Amino acid sequence: MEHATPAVLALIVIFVGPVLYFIHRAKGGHSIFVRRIPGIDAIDDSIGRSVELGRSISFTSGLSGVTPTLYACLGVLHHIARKTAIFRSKLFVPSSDPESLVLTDATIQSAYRAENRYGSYHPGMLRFLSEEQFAFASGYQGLMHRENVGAAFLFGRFAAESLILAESGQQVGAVQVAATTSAEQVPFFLVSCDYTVIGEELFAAGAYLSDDPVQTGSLRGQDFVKSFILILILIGVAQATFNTVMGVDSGSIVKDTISATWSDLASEEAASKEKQNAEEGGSDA
Amino acid sequence: MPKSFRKYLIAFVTFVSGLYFFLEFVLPAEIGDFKFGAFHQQISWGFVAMGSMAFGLGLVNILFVHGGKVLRTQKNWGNSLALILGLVVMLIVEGGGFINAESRVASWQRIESWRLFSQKVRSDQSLKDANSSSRVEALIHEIDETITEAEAEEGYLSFKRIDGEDQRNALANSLKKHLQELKTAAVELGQGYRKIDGETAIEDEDTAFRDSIHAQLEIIALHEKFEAKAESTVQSAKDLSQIIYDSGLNQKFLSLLRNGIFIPLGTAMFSLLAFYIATAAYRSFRLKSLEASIMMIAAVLVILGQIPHGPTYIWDGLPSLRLWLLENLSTPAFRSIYFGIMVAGLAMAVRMWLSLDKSPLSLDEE
Repeated sequence: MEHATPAVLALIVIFVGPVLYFIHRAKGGHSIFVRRIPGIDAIDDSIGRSVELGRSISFTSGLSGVTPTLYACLGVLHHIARKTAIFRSKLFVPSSDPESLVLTDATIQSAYRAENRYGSYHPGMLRFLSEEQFAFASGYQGLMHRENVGAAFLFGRFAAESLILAESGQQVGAVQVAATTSAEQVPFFLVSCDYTVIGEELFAAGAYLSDDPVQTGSLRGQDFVKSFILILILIGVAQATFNTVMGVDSGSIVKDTISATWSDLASEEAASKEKQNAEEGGSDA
Repeated sequence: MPKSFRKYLIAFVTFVSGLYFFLEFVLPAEIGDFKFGAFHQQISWGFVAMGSMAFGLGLVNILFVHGGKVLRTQKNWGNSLALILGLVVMLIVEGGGFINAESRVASWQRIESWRLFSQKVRSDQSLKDANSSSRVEALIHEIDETITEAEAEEGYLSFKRIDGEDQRNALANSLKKHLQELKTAAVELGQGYRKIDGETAIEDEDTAFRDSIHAQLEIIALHEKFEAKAESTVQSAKDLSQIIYDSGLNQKFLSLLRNGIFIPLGTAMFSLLAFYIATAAYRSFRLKSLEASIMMIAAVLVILGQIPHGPTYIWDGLPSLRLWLLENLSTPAFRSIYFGIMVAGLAMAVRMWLSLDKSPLSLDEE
């Protein structure tokens, strides 16, 4: 099992601190501005268009397992499911992970209950297709065509099947909004979907849709953490540039500090104690 | 259970579980004599066991959705029936494979247990165990019985030969030879022990001590010989059981389903990507805006730098330019995305751990 170095523990504390502080502030009533994200704005428009055309709506979290990414996706699914409950629109949620299936089902049920439309909830909304990547893609493709989907939301982790999923939506003329934490798949979504939410914006979607102080506060905290990372990068760049210009190889302060393990620290401490003892012994003599 | 209590129970369990994994990650592997993650493997297995239950839920969902379609003969019910039939066939075949695999392992595990038994007898002997000789006799008896059963094709090992299956027959012969050699080694071991037991009182203490040391070394050498022989016999039994397992009807059918149907279908889906990439590339390369134009120029340069014709016919600096574009423009952009994702993931994980969020799963409880 991999263990954190002392510097990593310190970094976790530094990263988590601002997040908790700003959550506390936001809960205390401080308003926090969240910039517009066109992809998230497009969710309601896409649902509206699909409802007007009498077409169904699909949402998938792709290959996401039970991770923070799935949790972020469920926030968006909750919003979409509430809308489909209000408009009595048909919702399909194809799934590839049996573990996340349970959470997804609970989210849909919760959304329908929240709108007092639990009678419209049907367990068949949730479709477990396959754990195997391309079997899932094949099942998804068939579903898009058979159910004449008008709005497709692809939120979560995707791999090589991303383009197959997005292109099948293109073929049926669905408005597509994609959001992924798999940076390699972003170009495929950019060219195949109407709106693409990139990287961390997926995690911001919940804050954007719900205006929940915990989520907006967390967003502000994350911005501070990223500023700190930027400073670390600038230090690293400055040192690397200095080393190159001066022609010295003194290692990297950031890298060396982060990679020092607990045992390194213990041996350093022991060495310094030994040195101190030797000095004391020398002075006594 | 009251809903509010359930909410607190979930928050408590989430916090305690998260705390364990957090501490397991941040604390040193050992603090003095204390190992925080001493039971980490067992705890992880517990989570795996819980996760495996979810597979049943996937199965229930498939049966509910498609079984309902078949029963009500709804539109496309034939496809649903095909899916359910496929599911049942795979369950039966995979189940058969599991049972066969169990018996396959049992065939060599017994021989492995003889090796471990020999090690135990050896360590007990060094503690002056008086029963070592009779224990080795029992071992010889068991090996003998196993060989007799295998020849009669009754036991967990079989020397059965089948016409036309040369490889299997050769492995069966090899296993038989190995077992007989193993028996010889066990008999020699037994003789070694008998020699010790048969020693009469010796008057001279020095001679007795010297003989005792000599006998001990001899016994150790005989044990090592037996154990080495057992190891090669295990390998031989493994090879034979593998070939019997692979040539079984169940495995052949499973191979047909998996390698003959499932994998080619997956490959066919994957091959669709080539066509989809072409259409997607066409859309992205249309010069609709300044950004699209920049992207197109960059993409063309990368493509030309990648293929051999670019540097050969156009400009030999294209591969370096491609590398520069990828390493200095593309990689930093990806890294910045990853930094954002990691920080957001960490923040989300902390919110989940401390149950700070209004859960999308339970908003109705608010």
